Amino acid sequence: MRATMSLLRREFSAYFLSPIGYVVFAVFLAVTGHLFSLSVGLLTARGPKGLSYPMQLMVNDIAFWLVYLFIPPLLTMRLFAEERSTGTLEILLSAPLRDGQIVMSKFLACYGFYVLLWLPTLLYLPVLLDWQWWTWQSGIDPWPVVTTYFGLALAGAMFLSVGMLVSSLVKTQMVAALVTLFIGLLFILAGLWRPADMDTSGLAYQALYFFTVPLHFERNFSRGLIDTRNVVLYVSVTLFCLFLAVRSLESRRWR
Amino acid sequence: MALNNSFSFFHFLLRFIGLTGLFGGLVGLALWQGIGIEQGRLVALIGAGMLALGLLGELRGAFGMTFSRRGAVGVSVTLQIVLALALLAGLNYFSFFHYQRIDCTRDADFTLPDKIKSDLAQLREDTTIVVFQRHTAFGYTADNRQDNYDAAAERKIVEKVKDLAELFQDFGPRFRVQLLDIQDDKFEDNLKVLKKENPALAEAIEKTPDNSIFFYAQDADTKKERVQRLSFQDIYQLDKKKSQEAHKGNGNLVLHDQGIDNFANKVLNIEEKKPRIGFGVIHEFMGVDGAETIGMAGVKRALEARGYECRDIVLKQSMEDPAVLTHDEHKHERLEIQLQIYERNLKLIAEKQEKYQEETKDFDKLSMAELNKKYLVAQDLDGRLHAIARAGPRPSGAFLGVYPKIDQEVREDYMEDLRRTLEDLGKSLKRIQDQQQKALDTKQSLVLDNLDEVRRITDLRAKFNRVLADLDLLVLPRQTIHDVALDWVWPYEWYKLDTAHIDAIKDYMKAGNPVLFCMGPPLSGRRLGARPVSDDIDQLLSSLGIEMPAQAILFNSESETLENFQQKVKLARAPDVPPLEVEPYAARASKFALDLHPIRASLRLSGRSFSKSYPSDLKVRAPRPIYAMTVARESAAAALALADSPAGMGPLLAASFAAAKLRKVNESAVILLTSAESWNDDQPFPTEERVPRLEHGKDPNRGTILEKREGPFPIGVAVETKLPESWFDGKAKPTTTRFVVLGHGGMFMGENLTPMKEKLLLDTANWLMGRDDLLARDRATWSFPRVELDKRAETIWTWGAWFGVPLVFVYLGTLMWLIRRMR
Repeated sequence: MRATMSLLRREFSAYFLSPIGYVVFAVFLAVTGHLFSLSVGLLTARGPKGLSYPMQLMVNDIAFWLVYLFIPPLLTMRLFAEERSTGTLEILLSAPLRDGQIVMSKFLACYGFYVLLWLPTLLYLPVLLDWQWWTWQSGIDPWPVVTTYFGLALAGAMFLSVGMLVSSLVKTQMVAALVTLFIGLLFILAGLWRPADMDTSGLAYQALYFFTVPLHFERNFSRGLIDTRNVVLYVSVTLFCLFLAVRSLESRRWR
Repeated sequence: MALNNSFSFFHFLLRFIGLTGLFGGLVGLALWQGIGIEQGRLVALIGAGMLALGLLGELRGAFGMTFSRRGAVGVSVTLQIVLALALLAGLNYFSFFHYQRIDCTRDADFTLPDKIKSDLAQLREDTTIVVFQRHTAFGYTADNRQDNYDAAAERKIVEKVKDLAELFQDFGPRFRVQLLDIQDDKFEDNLKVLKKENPALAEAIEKTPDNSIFFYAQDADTKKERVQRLSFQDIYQLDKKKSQEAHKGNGNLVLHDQGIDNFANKVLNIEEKKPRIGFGVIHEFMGVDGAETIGMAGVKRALEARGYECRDIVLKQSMEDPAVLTHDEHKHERLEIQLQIYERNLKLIAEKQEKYQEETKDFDKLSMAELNKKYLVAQDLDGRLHAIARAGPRPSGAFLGVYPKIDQEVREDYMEDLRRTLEDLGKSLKRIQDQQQKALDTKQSLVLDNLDEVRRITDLRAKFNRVLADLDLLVLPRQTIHDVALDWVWPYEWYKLDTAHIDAIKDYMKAGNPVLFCMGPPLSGRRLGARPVSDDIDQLLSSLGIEMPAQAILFNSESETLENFQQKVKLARAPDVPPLEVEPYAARASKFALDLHPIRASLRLSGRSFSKSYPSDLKVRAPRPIYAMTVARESAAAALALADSPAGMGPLLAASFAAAKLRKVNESAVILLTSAESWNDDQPFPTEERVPRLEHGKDPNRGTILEKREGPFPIGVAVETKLPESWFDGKAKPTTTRFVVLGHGGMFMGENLTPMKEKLLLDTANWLMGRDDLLARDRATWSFPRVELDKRAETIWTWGAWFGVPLVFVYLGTLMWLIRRMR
C-alpha cells in the first residue's frame, strides 16, 4: 500500500514539476473563465435573454469541448509512453507492485489532477447559483450544477482511462497523444457537428447520441438530469480501459 | 531463405487482400445501406470474401501461437479481453434499451405525472410532432409582428416541445419531432415532401396562421390521416407586460406555464373528431360562408385554422319564412327564384324583339300608304318614337304627341330608333343569359346531398333538431345597430324566430349542449323612434336568469359626433371608442375580490401578450348591457346592509342590490365590460330634437339595472347553470348546460378578426365545449434565473474569472520553472 501511495504521490507531483500542468491549468481556466463571464452576462442580462440552467453555456460551448478534447491526451500521454521511451518502465515493473496497482496509482494521480483542474471553477458557484450568504441558500436551483459536476467527473474518468490505455500501448508520447485525441474526437465529434435535421427519435440519432458526450451534457447533465445510459457508458468504458491497461502491462512479461 | 522470403511475400499478400477487403467491404456497406446504391452490396460481398481469405492466412499463425507456451498465455489473455469486450458491449446494449432519466431538478422540470405516464404506456402508434415556426407574435394573427420577447418565447417553446417529446418517448411509442421553419431555405422543399406523403398535415400547416404544433398519425390499416393542432400559446403564455417589468425593469422572459395536459391530450386523443360549430343566421350572406363585409368570413378562417369545422344554418327563407337550411340549400333556393326571374325577363325580351323585328320589316317593306293605314307613330316623354298599331289596343303611358302622318322622315327616324332598341335588347339578352349561366353554374356546384329529404320534412322543429344533433356548439348572432349617428340599423324583427326554432334550441340545450348568443340592442332605428322589441329568444334567456335591458351603450368619445348630428355637421370618420375591459373593476374599486371567470382570466392573460395596453383591439359600438342574475343566498337583511353602503361596492353590485334585494348580479359570470367612459341609453339615436347624453336627473329606474348611469357595463356573461324545471315538464331531471351571451351581434363580423376578438371567440368556444384546458391559465410562471450584481461586482467577477485565476497558475508555473532552473 505504501508503495502504491508512493507511486501515486510521485505521479501526482510530476504534473506540478513540469510546465505542462500549469499550461493546462492556465488555458483551461482561461476558457472556462471566459465562458463563466458570458454566463454572468446572461444571468444579469437586460431583456428576454438568459440561461435556463446556470452551467448550460459553460459545458455546451464548442470552445469548451475543443479545449476539453486536448486535456486527456496532455495528462495521459506521458503515463506509460514516457517511462517506456526513457527505459524506466522495466524498473517500475520490477518494483514490488502488481500491474493493477501500477495502473490504479497512475490513473488516480492523473484523475486527481483532473479533479484539481475543476476545483477553481467552484469559485464561480456563488454567482452561478445566486448564493445568499445571509440565508445560506441559493436563489437558483443548485441541482443542475451538481449533476454537471457529476457528469464531468465520470466523463473525465472515461477519457483519462482511454488515454492511459493508449499510453500503455505505444512507445512515444506524441503517438499516444494523437491516438487519444483521435479516440476522444469520436466521442465528441457529433456534438460539434450537431446534426440539426436528424430525426431525433430515429435509431441512428439515438446511437449517435449514446456515444456523444457533448450531447449528454446538453440534454442531461447541465439541466439536472442523470441518464443511466450515460453513466453506464462512462463507468464501463473506464473499467474496460483500466482492465486492458493492466493486461497491456502484463503482456510485456510474457512477450 | 528463398522459401522463407516467398512465404513472407505470400503472407503479406494475404494480409494485403484481407485489409483491402475490410476497407472495401465497409465502403460497400456504406454505399449500399447508407446511400442506397445497390452496387454497394456487390462491393461489400467482394470485400467480405477478401477479408475471409486474409483471415484464412492468419489461421496458421493463430494455431502456432495457441499451441506454444507463450501462445497459451496469450490466448488466455485474448479470451479475457474478448469476454471483457462482450461484457462492455452487452452492458451498454442493455442500458441503451433499458434506461432511466433521473430528474434531479428542484421543481421536477422533467417529470411527467403518473396519470400521463400510464396513459402513454397504452399508446401503440407512432406519432409525428411537427413544430411549425411561422415567426408570428404571441398575438393570434400573422399581422402581429414578432419582437425580441416573442422570438425568445418561441425558442423556449420549441425547446419545451422537444423535451416533452423526449419525455414521452421514454414511456410510449415512437415520437418523431420535425421542425419546420418558414424562414428556412428548405421549407418549400420540406412542405412539398409533406404534401406528397401526408397531405392532410400539409394542408393544416398551410392554413395555420401562427406558430403551431401538429400531431400527426396515420392508421396503419385504413391509411386514414389524423391531425391535431396546438398553438404555441397552449404550451406557454407570454406575459409581455410582466416580462418588461421584471428584473427591476431590466426585463426578463416571463411565461405562464399552461401545463403539459394540453400537449398530452393531443397525443392521447389524436383520433378526436373536429369540433363542429353551427351559426344560426337569417341569410346566407350573414354567415361564415357569406359576404365578406356583412358575413363572418374571419370567423371561418380563424376556426378552421385551429381545427374546428363551422357551418351556417340559415333559419329563414327570403328573410321572412321560417326555415332550416344549409348555406348551399339557402343559396339553391335563392338561385331558383333568381333563375325564374331571368327566365321571365328573357321571355319578355324575346317578345319585344319579335315585335320590333316585325315593325322593322313593315317600316322597311310597306308603302307609305300601307304604313299609315297600319300604324300611328307617337313620341314619348324621353323623345323616343313608338309605333302604335291602329288595330291593336291603346298603349299605356304618357306621350308628348302623335304624328298626324307617317312621312319619309318619321319612317327613317323610327327605323333608326328600332335599330337602336333592338341593339339594346340584344345586349340585355346577352347580359341576362350570362347571369343565368353563372347562376346555373353556381347551382351545379352546390352541395345538396339532402335537398329532397329537407324539402320532404315539413316539421321545422324535427328538421332543426336533426341539424343541431350534429353540432357541438350553436352560435346565434343578431347584429342590429351598426351606427347610431347614421341610423344604420338592421331591425331586430328580422331575427325573430319561429316557435319551432325556439323549441329546437331548447331541446338542444336540454341535451346539455352549449349555445353562444350574440345579442345586439333590440332597438329599431331613429325613424321608428328607437322602439324596443323583444322575441322568444329574449324570453328564453330571461328564464335562464339573463337580463338584457333594451338599451345601447354609448361612449363619451362619441358625444361630439352625436352633437354634430343636431348641428348637421358630418365628421369624415367615426370617432374611436375605448376598448372593452376584462380587468375586475369591482375588485379594483373596492375591497371585493372576485373570482374571475375562466374566459375572462384567459382574455386577461392573453392580453398581456401584447406589449401595449392589452385588449386595445377589442372594440365594439353600441353594445347591449347583459346581466346574469342569481338569487342571493344571503338574507334580505344582509342584502339591505350591503345595499346601504354603495360607496364600498362596485356600481354594478350597488345597483343590483338596491334594485332587488334578493336578486343580485352574478359578477363572477361577467367576461366582458365596457369602459367606464360610457353610458346607457334607450334612445341612442340622435334626432333634431334630442341628442343622447347622460342626464343626471330624476330617473324612475333609479336603483335598477335600467337606471341610466355611467359605465362600466357588463356586455358579456358566461354561465353554467341547471336548466329550469319548467323546460322538462317534470318528465326528466334538469340538465346543466353552458351558455354565453354577448351584448353585440356583430362582434365577430367581417373579413378578418382582430387578435383579441379571435381570442374571445376561441376562448368562448372552448369553454362552451368543455375544453377548459385550452384556455390560458395564470399558473406557474417560468422565467430565466437572474442574479443581482452591481456593475462593479460584475466587472470583478468577469475579469477575475477570465484573467485573474489563469494568471495565478501562470505565476505558479513560472515560479516552478525558476525553482527548477535554480536546482
